[in-house]
Amino acid sequence: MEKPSGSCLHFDLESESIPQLRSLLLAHATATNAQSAEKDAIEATSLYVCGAKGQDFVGAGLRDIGEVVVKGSLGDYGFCSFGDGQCLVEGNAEDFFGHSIASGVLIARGHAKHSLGALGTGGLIAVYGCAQDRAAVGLQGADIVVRGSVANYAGLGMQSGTLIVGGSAGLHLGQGMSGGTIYLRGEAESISPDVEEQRLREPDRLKIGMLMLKSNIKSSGKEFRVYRALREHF
Amino acid sequence: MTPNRSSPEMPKSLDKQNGFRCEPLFGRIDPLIKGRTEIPSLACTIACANTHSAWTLDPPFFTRLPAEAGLPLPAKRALISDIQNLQIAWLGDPTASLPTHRNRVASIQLDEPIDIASLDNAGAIELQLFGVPFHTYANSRLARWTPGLPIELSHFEQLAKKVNLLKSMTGGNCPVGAAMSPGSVYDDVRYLIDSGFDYITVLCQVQYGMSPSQALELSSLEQSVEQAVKALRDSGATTKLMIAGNFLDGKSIFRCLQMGASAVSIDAYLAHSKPKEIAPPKETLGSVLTAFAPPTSTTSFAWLAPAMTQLITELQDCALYAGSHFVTP
Repeated sequence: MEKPSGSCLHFDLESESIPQLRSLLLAHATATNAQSAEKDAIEATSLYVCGAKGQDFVGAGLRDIGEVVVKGSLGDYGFCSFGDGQCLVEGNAEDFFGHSIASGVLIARGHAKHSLGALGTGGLIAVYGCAQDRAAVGLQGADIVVRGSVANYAGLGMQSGTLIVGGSAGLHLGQGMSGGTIYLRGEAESISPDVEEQRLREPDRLKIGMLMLKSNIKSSGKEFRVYRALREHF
Repeated sequence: MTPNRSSPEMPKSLDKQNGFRCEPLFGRIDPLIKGRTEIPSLACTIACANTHSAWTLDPPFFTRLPAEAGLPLPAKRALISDIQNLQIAWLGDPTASLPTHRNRVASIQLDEPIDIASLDNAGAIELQLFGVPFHTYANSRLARWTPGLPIELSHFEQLAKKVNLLKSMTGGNCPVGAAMSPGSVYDDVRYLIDSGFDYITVLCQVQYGMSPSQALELSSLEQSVEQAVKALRDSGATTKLMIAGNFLDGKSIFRCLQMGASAVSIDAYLAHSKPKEIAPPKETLGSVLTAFAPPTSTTSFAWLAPAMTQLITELQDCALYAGSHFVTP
């Protein structure tokens, strides 16, 4: 996602508060929906948020917000319950980035801390850096792409969805997994007995390629290993 | 000398013997002057994070039956509609045919994502801190009520962050509560208070159907309430306490309110108040007609309003008899 050009709203988190941003995003969502309802809509309005210095709950609970670019780093629960929009964070994200994501695309150019994309049910989260412990914990259908490495307990309790790791993984990969797929390019320090390695097939390569393409990451999807749950619990 | 009305305490044995404690005689002097002819208010008001708004339960009742009773959709809608007309708080998701209501309590289950649509226009949000972990099977009905925290939390302090998140998502206009099945009640209530919940619901008994037999007693009501009230007192917090238990009349509800609860569940009362469907004797014309008649009783809750009127009258009688001498936690 490129930086917004043309019609663009600006918001400074340093001088204004999160509730004010929330009000603006809600107004922005209404305007975006009204514009998309018109057949002759010329261009979508984008929102450019600057001054993000690790504030918690930025964009939490907002959907249909169109395109948003955040300059800086987010705190905990950034864009929680996100849906139907596109968001680019030009910095790091702390714990629970994209928690309960339902749809849309969330991209972080930096690193993500604990519990990336926890309990996500749909949509895509892409992190260009690394992710700490418990990436994709309790995932329920969302897709997560981490270009770097993930730490311990990646894919803990996954029920469905996809986790793609471009680097290596820490301890207990796929602990308690009951569904979903983990694609790992590097090595894992230890792999949970709840998952088994499977052969990379053509549909897997296509899926990796498609998700990488959506995340703006170049990859052929050929060098990955596939891990799936030993048995489906549900 | 003005007598201190909070100092005289009755012995606990007498308290238990009488059922609930009445206001002492010196507190009943000149009721007309003190304006005490009116029924004392039993409403429960929970302050929200945004100090300009509050959530009020008047009467101080709530029901979990729309979420837990497993009713078919038409019956569920009819029940919710009648409950809404009676201004009783109810736990459940918004149904398509009904407008959103301030008395609805939005529920967030264990290990389930936050559904923002469910939180819209809810009066309160309640985290259900029990349930079977996602990776094991529920081999008994009791297992569903196992106390637990969501898998997403890797540290106990993260629960406070999640509570703040929910308050932030609703703009601070919704109180956030927790429903816990009793385990170690004192410690659990202290932990939930420290996590920043606005109210705590202790489930001493749960009703999983509209029949009186479809109830599951999880713990002793008196012990749980005592421990929870002690935890509230020790913490000095303004968190409200709600109790789900086997309340079958106004007297038992009033006693629980006097012990320190702010609101109680009326699930057991509703299950016992539901008129029994008596089948006509077999091999008669009546039985044949009943067998072929469409089932109407499941979607009819005409008995609900009279039953609630009776319960509120009983509760008001108890309040008038005892005076407004409540134990403040």
